[in-house]
Amino acid sequence: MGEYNKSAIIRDTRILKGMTQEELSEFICDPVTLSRYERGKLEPTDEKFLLLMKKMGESGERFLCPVKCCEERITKLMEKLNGATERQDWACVENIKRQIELDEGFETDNPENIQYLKRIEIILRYHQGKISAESAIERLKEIWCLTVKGYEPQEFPENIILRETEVLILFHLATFYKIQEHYMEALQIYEKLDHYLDRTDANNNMKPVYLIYIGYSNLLGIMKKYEKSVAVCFKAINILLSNNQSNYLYNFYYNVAWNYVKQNEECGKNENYKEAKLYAWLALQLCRNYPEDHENLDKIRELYEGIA
Amino acid sequence: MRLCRGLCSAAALVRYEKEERMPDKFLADALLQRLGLNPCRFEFIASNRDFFFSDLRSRLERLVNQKKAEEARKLLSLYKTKITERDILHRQYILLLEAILDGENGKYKEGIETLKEALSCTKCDIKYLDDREALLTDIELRIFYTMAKYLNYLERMDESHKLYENLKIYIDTLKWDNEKRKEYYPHILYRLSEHELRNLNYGKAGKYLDEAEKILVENYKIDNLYEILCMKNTKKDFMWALRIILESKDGKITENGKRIWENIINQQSSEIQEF
Repeated sequence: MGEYNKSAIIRDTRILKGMTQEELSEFICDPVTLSRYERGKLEPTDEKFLLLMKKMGESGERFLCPVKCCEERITKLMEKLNGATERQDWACVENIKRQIELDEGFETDNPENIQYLKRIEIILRYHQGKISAESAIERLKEIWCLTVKGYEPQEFPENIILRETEVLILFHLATFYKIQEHYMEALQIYEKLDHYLDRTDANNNMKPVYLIYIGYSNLLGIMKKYEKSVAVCFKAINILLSNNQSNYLYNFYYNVAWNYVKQNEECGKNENYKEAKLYAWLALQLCRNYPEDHENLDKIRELYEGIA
Repeated sequence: MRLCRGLCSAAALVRYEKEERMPDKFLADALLQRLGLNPCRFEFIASNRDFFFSDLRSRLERLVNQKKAEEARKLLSLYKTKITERDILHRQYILLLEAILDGENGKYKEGIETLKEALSCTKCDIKYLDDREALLTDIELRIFYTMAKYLNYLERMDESHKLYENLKIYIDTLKWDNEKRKEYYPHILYRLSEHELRNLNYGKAGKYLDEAEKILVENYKIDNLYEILCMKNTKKDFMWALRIILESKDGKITENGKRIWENIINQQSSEIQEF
């Protein structure tokens, strides 16, 4: 279930609004009581909760639906949209996005929904050649601020929980920084995300996790940090296998092989070079037999056959 | 009565439906699951207590996935101290995880007894699935599935096969969200195909294996895919690749994995030379 803990909602919203406990509690309850609400020591009544949320400019009603159905239709459309984005089928993305926007069940004044759609729009416009990477970065930063106020994307605080859309925004930012060859900015984002995903309360089963680790290992390879890139790949492979998943698995094996080859070419180290062929072969088998993008098969075969 | 069996009284269910009372998150989830609905599609305000237990369960699942049995047991001990006698769903979950950890140590007999105890928390038993109109929560389903596996490991084949068959019927006839099908169905089909092969029903076995392979590959899953390809005696390179991958440790290929690879390469070279 989408789970909302009242104490966390009050506390996090107050912090994001930049209010003190004294300011928020005034005319509603005393600051000590508010503190107890925020620490989970005391449960606010629905009435008090609504008053506090309204004072912070939030309707509060959104959080007070005992069992409210998310529109099944919208959820299914969003899943289709995610699939189309992954396949880079931009015509399909545009079509589904329009369906979602026009659906009366989709609340267009909800900041999370606005953020979701705008993220898709930015990626779509970039891939259609309508905006530059630089412009995409600026727009992504703007929509980041819709739900995470007061922090630059590279500096998000460690104690917040990120939603999938927010994680994807960070991933896209890192990707666009990499495209612009601003490698340090991209690296900063990936390092923060890596650290965040290690948290036991972070949801690291979501698909963006694998995209992040691929992007991270790719970037490290480009920056010639071959050992670190390989370490990231092994970490991701371990996560995938322990979750019985093989999405993008071939990608990680390919990256390991690629890094070993590059390491050998540039540094002359060949202790891992012998294994490079094995990892490339594993990538080949996985890409061939799972419904992966078979355009990548040629690339993998080329690497495999190029290793003596 | 089938809906609320072991979870709450019928009177309580009526009060929930009339919004006179609120169930806790775990009870609400369990009722929705028995109705064949995915609770993730619904929004709910969780109390701090519910939130605490949700978080605890996420951490436990991660530890079990990562095979960190000792840490998982410590967390289970903490979990036990936080529940009361009335928290039957939490008790059931704890027993399930204890059984899973027993299984990791090969203690399948003890595991089965623990799973039976877990089922009894919601007034269920091993024969319950014989009823074609059974309604299960996700945890109950997981208990039955784990029990079928352990019976198989103990070579209690008749019991195991019956349970797998009942599980297949349950998944086939009820309205399921795809996540459950992806998670359980391939392994169930794999075990059913083993049974058919033992009885020389090659056609039926082949059908089960094909379907299991299809679901696993389409959904990018890996468990049992190696065994299925072995049984089909097909896609040998892929089969060996899976074997090497499954033997890996912390993502890295092991020495045994490298030896398997070298054998493959040597075999392929000698086949080419012979040709």
